[in-house]
Parts: sequence; C-alpha cells; structure tokens
Amino acid sequence: MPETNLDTLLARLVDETITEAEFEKLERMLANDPDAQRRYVHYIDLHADLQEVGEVVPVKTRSRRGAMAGLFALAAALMLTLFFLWQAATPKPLVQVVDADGPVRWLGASGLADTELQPGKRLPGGTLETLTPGSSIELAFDDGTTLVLSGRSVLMISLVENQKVLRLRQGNLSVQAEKQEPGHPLLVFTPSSEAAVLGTQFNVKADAFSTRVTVNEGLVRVKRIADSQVQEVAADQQVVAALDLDTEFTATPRRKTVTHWQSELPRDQLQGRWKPGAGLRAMPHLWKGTAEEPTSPILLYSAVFDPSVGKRSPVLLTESTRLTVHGRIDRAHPVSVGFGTNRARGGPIGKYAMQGVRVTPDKEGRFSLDLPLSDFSPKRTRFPSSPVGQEIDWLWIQTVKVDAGLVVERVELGE
Amino acid sequence: MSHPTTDFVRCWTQHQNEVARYLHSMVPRAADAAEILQDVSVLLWEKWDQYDQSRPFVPWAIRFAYLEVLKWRQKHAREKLVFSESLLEQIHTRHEEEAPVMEARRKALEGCLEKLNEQQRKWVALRYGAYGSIKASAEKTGVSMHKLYYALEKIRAQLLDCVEQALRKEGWSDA
Repeated sequence: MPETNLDTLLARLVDETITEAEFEKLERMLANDPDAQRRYVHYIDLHADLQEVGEVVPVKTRSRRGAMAGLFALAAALMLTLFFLWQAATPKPLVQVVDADGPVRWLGASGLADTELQPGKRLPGGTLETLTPGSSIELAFDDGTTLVLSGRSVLMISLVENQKVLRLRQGNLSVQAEKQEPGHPLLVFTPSSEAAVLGTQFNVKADAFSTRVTVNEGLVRVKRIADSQVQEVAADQQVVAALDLDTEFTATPRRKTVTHWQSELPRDQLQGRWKPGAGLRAMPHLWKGTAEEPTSPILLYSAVFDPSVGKRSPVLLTESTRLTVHGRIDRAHPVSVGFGTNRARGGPIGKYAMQGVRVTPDKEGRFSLDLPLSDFSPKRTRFPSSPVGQEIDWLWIQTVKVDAGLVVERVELGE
Repeated sequence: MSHPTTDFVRCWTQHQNEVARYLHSMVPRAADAAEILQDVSVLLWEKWDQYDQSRPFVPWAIRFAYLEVLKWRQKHAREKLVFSESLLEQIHTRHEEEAPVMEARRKALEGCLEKLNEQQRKWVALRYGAYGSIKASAEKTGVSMHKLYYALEKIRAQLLDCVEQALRKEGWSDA
C-alpha cells in the first residue's frame, strides 16, 4: 500500500476518527514492517509536538524549542487567543499529588468531589480539604514548590496570571516555596492575613479569627487584614495576625523548644467533646487508609490534642521523652496512642503510633498510661524510623471501631 | 537535603511528557493512554527506591510503562482499537531504536513549522491550539470537518518530509 494511505490512516488515528475496519487495516500495514512502524512512531511524535506547540507558544516558556520567528508569530498570536479561550473552558493541571494520608477530598470547578488522590495524580485549580485531624496531603507545583495540608483544613489553590494563590480558609498549611518569578510572589490568604513569599519554608495555622505564620527559612511579608499593617517575618520568627486588634502584631523570635508539655483543656483540644471537670471525650470520625495501604473506611473514636496552639514553645522529642495519658474508660479495651511531628524548624515529617495498648480501668473507671518514645513506631515506611529530634505537632488517643467511653483528662510529655 | 517524594515529583514532572508520548504510540486512544499514564506514575513512585539516579530516567520509566501497556492490553484485548501484543512489542522496539534521534527531529520541526504558509498555520492553530479535537474545531469555527481533516493530513505529511530532509542535511543516517 502506498505511503499516502498509511498517512491517511495515521491521520484518522490521531484525530480519533478511525473506524474499526481501518484500524485493522492499519495494524496489518504495521505488522512486521519496520519502515511503516518508524513512520507510525514519527507520526505520533509529530502529533504530540503539535499539541505541545499549541500549548507552549502562548505562555512563552518554550526553552527547549527556542523562539519562533517571522510569519509564525501570527499563528502564535492566534493560538494565544484560542489557547486562553480553551483554557477558560478546560481546567489545566496545576499541582501533582505527592502523598496522601487519611480522608482527603478535592473539589474542582465543576463541583465534583474526588477522594481518590493517589501519588502522581494531577489536579487543576480547586478546593482541597483534609477531613480529620490525622489527614494530610502533600502536593507539588511544576516548579518544585511543595505544600502540605494537614488536620481539618480547607485550601483553595489557583494560578492567576502565572502567580500561585493559596487561600487557607482554616487549618494547617506548610509551604516549601521554590524561588518565584520577580513580581509574582506566591500569595497565601487566610481570613485574617495575606502573606507574600518569593522562596522560603514556612508554616501557617489559621482559623476564622487569627493566623499564625512561622518562618523557618527565607522571608515572608505578612499583612494583617484588619488594619493593613505589614510585618516582615524572617527565618526563625513568627507572627500572629488576628482580626482582634488588641492582639499584638509583631514578628517575634520563634520560641526556644521545650521538652515538657502538659495539656490544658479546652485550649489544646483539636477533636473531642470537652466537659469541664471531666476531660475530653473521644468522638467518632471515619478513617480510611493511605494510597500505600488502602483500607475500607473504619470508625475511630478519638480525642486529639494540639500542643503547639497559639505562640507556645515547640515541644522537642528526645531519647528520654515519655508520654503519659490519664483518663477514664468504661471497660478494659485496647486504645491507640500516636502523634504527628514536624521537622525541627520545618514542615510535617512523620506520624508515630502504638496500636492496641491494653487499658484496664480501676474501680473508679480511671486509667493511666506511661509510654516511652522508643515504643512508638512510624505509621509509614517513608517516615524516619525515630521521632527523636522532631517537634510534636498534634497527638491522639483513640479506640478503633468501638466506643468504649474513652475520656482523656490529661496528657503530658516529659523526660 | 531533598526528600525522596520531592525528587520523584521533580523527575516525573520533567519527563512525564516523554512517557506520555510513548504511551500514546502504544495505545491509540488518548483517554486510554492518559489512564495508563496515571497507573505508570503510581507504579514508578512505588518503585522509586529501586531507581538508580545515576542512570537515565526515561528508559527506566518506559520499561514499566511497557509492562503497564501489556497489562492494560490483557484487560482490553477484545475491545476495538487495541494493537496485538506482537505489534506492541515491535513498536516498543522501534521506539528504542528511534529514541536517540527524536530530540533532533523535534528541533528540526521548529524550522519546518516556520515554513508553513499562513493558511496552514491557521489550520494547525485550529486543531492544536484551540478546541482539542478536529470535530470540536470544525463545529466551533464553522469550517468543514472534511476540509480541515484533509488539510491537516497534508500538513503533517509535509512536516514529516521536511523533518526527514532536515535530518538528512545534518547527516543523520536513519533519516
């Protein structure tokens, strides 16, 4: 068969108009014919190149191909216009999932929810939700900027004129920003602050009323929305931007780490129902496994604490750290105890747990646990084997599937 | 010190287009190729600790991509538009042979695109810059689909011939 016929079939193939009979004919032409196969490979590659030209020319990032000149500029201008029309209708992937743990959800512009966020999946602009205190997801932009959303958090991600814009409605966000283009800083908005960064590592904790920004590397410019005051927050500094103007808005040195912490309720509660004089009652929530170890959703009853709330000193874990828990439980039952950690002066790094710790209540229904740090194991193989040297971010005590009436009165970390 | 996940994402982001091109040649339907690409990215992430970073990423990735294609083919063997396993093996081999010259071909294409006339560039822009499919382009612009289809077939053939000539001039023996 002449080459033009092969080209006709290849054209129909790439344009996805080929019929079944034509496809069979194409397969026969390609079988055992290296020349035809070579033409096929080149044709498909040309098609991919043209697709790339159609996308690459308008955004002027054609480093590999160099600049098109002369008359082609006219076509480029046309493609630019059409590209933006197309872009408006077709969401373009902005970020890629690096890792996800626990219930997380992505809501795209169409409003459809996606809860299967495996590593490698590419996502367009939209709203990301981590749904439980233990949920987390790490995403990467194409320039290598990464972000980790954790806890009960809601984050909108968008790209506006080549500028990354993150809107943290609530929760915890850790950002490792690669150097951004001059004039296009990465922007982080919360209900009470606006932050602009050109390249740095920083953590943001926000609720409806206040935002704490802790900078570990680089420099972040933070604006308090309530009065538009601006603070430059340098490495090892933090600032709290609150809607309440009585709260001091000054970048201050990050507090030195401590090795002792004792819970104070209700200030430190992240999940559970607090009863004055009683403690934090474990409350139910659904959990599902990771992409590495998927499980069917299971019901957990958890009391969750946040030792790092407000401007408190970070709690450093050492070889001799022990975790003690005092509480009440209806009957003898296994509990799980665990915690999430941050790198020293950095973002989230790991989760460690002791599963199935048998708890037996005394005559008054009370129990206490005294657990050395060395008894805790990493929840994922990719986490460091030991949490020593890391800072504690949050911790949980829970029963699995069964409500055993768990109430946590006090938690303590110390040597 | 960079994190393995960050290393992987950087590497994958840099090279996934190459893997996507390969998959598209093995699996003609774009939607199928995209689905396999997702699976390949997960598989590569799982195997990342086995990757020797002193060696090129793309051939390593394509080895796994080929296995994923074969797995996909087993599941979809009875469907339309699925190449036989024997042909897939031959195309895979052709890919390996052609890999060294592909970058030169792409560079040559830049010059060839500049040689297109105004009308031809308009057809290319309609097909590749706007609506993403020949049917959608035709419907949106009111251009006859057959006319656009025919024009694109000629343009692609012209571009391929131009690339071949350019490579011959540069001394590529297999061009």
